[in-house]
Amino acid sequence: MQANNILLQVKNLKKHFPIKKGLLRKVSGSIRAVDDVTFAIPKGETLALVGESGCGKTTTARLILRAVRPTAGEVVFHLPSGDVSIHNLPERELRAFRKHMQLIFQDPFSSLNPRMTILETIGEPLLVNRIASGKQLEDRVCELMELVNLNSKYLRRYPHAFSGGQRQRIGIARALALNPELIVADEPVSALDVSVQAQILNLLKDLQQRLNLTYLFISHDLAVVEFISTRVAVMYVGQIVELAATRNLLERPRHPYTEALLAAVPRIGERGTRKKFYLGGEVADPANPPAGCYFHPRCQYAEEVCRTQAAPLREIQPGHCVRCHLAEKLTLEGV
Amino acid sequence: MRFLHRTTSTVPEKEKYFVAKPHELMWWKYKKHKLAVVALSVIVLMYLLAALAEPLAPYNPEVRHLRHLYAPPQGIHFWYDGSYHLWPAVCKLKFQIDPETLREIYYEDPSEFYSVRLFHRGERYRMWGLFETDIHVLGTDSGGTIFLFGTDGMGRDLLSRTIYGSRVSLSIGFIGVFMSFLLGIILGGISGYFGGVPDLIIQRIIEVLRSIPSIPLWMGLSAALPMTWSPLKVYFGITLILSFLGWTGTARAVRGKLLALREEDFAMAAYLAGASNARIIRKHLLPSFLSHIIVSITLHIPGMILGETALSYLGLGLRPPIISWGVLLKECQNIQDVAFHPWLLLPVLFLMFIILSFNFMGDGLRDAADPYASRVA
Amino acid sequence: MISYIIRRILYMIPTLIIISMVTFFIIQLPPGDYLTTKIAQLEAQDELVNRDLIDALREEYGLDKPLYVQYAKWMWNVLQGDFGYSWEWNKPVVDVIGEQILLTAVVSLASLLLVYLIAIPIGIYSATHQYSAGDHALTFLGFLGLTTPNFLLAIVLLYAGYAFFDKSFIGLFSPEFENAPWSFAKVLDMLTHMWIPVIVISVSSVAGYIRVMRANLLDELKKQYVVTARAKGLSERRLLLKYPVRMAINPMISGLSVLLPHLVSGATITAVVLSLPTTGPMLLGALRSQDVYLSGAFILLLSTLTVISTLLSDLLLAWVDPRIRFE
Repeated sequence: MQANNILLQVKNLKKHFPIKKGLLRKVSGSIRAVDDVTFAIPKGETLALVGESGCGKTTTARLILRAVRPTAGEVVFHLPSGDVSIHNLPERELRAFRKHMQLIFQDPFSSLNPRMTILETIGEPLLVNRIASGKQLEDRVCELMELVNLNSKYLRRYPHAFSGGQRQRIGIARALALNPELIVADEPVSALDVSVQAQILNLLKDLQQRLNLTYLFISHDLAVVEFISTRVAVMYVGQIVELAATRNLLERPRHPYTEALLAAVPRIGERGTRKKFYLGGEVADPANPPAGCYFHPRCQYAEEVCRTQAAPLREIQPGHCVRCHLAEKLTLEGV
Repeated sequence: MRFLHRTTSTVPEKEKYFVAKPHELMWWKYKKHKLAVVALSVIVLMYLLAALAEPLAPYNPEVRHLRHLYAPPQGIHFWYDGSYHLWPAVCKLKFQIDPETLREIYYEDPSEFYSVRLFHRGERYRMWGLFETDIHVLGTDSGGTIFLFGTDGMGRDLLSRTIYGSRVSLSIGFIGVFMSFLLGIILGGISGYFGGVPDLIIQRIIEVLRSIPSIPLWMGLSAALPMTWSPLKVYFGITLILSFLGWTGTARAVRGKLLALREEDFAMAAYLAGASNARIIRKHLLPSFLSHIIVSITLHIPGMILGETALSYLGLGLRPPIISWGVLLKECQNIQDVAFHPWLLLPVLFLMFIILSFNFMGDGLRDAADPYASRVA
Repeated sequence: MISYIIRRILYMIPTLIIISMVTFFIIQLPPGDYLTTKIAQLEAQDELVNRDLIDALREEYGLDKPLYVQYAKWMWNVLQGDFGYSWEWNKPVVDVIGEQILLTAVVSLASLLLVYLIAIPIGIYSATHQYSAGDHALTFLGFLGLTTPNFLLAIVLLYAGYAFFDKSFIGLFSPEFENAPWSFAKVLDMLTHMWIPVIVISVSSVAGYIRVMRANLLDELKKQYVVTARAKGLSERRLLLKYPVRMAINPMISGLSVLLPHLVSGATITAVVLSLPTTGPMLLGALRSQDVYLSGAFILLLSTLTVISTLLSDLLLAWVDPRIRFE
């Protein structure tokens, strides 16, 4: 990981939502949606953010895009023109800054305004930032459509004319309109058929190469992650429990939760050759996480220290961080 | 590489569907409800009737036919002069005095008849206050009478008065609803988009207004209108009063929709692209709920019309010389009068007709309002 | 759950306060005051008016004080149960309207019950026998009911009774019970007379609610849990009542807060037509003559009735729908 090539740096990011209870709506506690998240993404690479529903992936994405304000921590963009701490930006500069980072949504059916033609939808970012209008706008939109393999003669159609995969491509085209450096993809293929998934993933990879894009790719599907990401961060109850290069994480995970996730991926033709176990218990409650290591109630390797002391995120090998007391001791099975 | 801007498709209908604007989709969906389409035509016709009251009414509304007080409705006959005719005629209305009650008993004398005339030169009037003419669409020769709804106690043709009355009753509904619409959108919009304290205050106000039963509230407010006001001022006063309560429903609907829409992905996408609040509201949120608002408003019109009718019936609303259906029905307050002259109730038919039509139209609109609803994956 | 109830009750208080202010404001709107009207009346009848007497009366009634003082005095009395004095009737307001408000409440609540008792079963029938002859007939009747404004229905019924049955539907009691003290016989008499006004008042709401119930139930019947229940072998009737009906009833219960003011409204105007000893005619008179305390009390009490009904509907909804409890 070359330190001077980093595009996005997230440091100790926290987001706690207060819980109001009782007659007077007193704050009785907080939901720790994002609890001390740190990672960095080098330019041109893809970091995948993996975890179960509710582990904080989407909230992290929103914090990065500054759709939500953090309780603590910072998000820093390293641009050629200088470093920008996103949450310290004043309002006016924020709108101008938005063109550096864009979002691809999960649901292709709600991410496009049904009352706008796709010319208007894809062209909107250009229009509001006064980059182009009129004929120029149309040409640019056609360019973008060709980029995502959509026939430009469909300009004047409305979203209801398109399938899920096509709509997602429209969403991608829209995200590319402002030439962003960073694209956050929030489970972009989860709502699509498997065959269509492959198309979109190939497209995303292709675009990354051509346009030198950096992706933060959120997913709960490890197969997708394997295909598209350079590095993977595994999240559990708002914390990153493991962060490593994709190959390393998949072949040799160092955290029991990662091992459990990998064990759940079905593989054809490997009957009986792998350690099989089921992860018991429930996902910890982000409003009331267990003491010590959040994962210890469900961990088959848990020891006394796990029950009492919280585990810090440590780099046990270059480029491989784990949040586990026993990381050195354990030999875990990957795929 | 030439960019093709002409859309080509093997199936033109499909292409039409793909590029159909939102309001086109809504209209197609609306058309599926045959009843709603009929209702729409009826409503349009009735408003036309109101607009063209002058020539359409057989008589002028204030003219008193002193020889025909409380005349019953006359029938249109195709059988007269001993045989069937293609062209309708009315019989001469005569009366006798009933020796016991000393009341007039009207009867039709089939020996004397008058042809029904179309585009007949009748009583003079000013069309929309602009020019004078005397052409009535329906009429009959002088000497004959064509009181299809009968006459009231002052000998005025009830059908004509009902037609003129529709002008006031229908317009009050429309204008009143328009004002509720404005108030509702503004207040509901503030409530829903900004939330927080303004939301709380507006919500409490809405709760309060909804808790006060409408008729007593309207009665109270109308009693406040000074007797000395001119009829026109009273008209606007009543309209204001009626919309005073009406906006709450719209505001709540707007607020609810806004709260839901704020979270929609495409609104978020626009926000992340750097769109201003104003643009997001105008381009993304507003069009989505505009159709719902229009539906809820249309459903309010009958309520307003009924409200005016009720108030005028109680004597608290419009007063003569303004003619509205409520004012006409005020004559029915006395049960004796109604008992002897039941045709005084006939304006109710118009009222029922329009309310029925609005209800059917509302049904159709409700379905058509969100043509994208079924598109959820 | 308890905290929910307490919170709702606490919310009621500012609402009621604002209602009282709005009420007071409204009844003060007409220019002048009761005495002004009285003077005009007397002068119209060419009676001599003693100005000094009027001034003294004005001071005694507190009509010369600023509005907010009048309001404060009025509210203070109201909270102690004293609704002031009716000048028109020369009696304390409580004596004048006590019975009226009670009867209004009875008639309105009876209409409410009728609406639910009729609309729900018919709605269920309509939904389960969709497109059948019965459904079409009921829908048509429903539309008829919807379109006939209640006071007009009252007039038509009055006329019909008069012309065809030679019966007068006016009033809530037979003449002999009119001013008699309350007794079981009087209650019975009232019940026999009450059904006409109650039907008239509830007709349009019944029609509306039949349609709502039918639409809601049709929506619910399409849902998957109904198919599952059927597949499990549950008898049609049990399945119907236990699941989709419970869901479909939800909007009807929350609609209670709108329904009751509507019924009270309808009751008011129907009362004028049918000369019932409930709110309508007397309120009308009080408003006309600016009998401030009387009309104020009417509107205040009616509004309180509906605020309480909103509370009840919310509580009922919370009881029926567990999702609300955990808000």
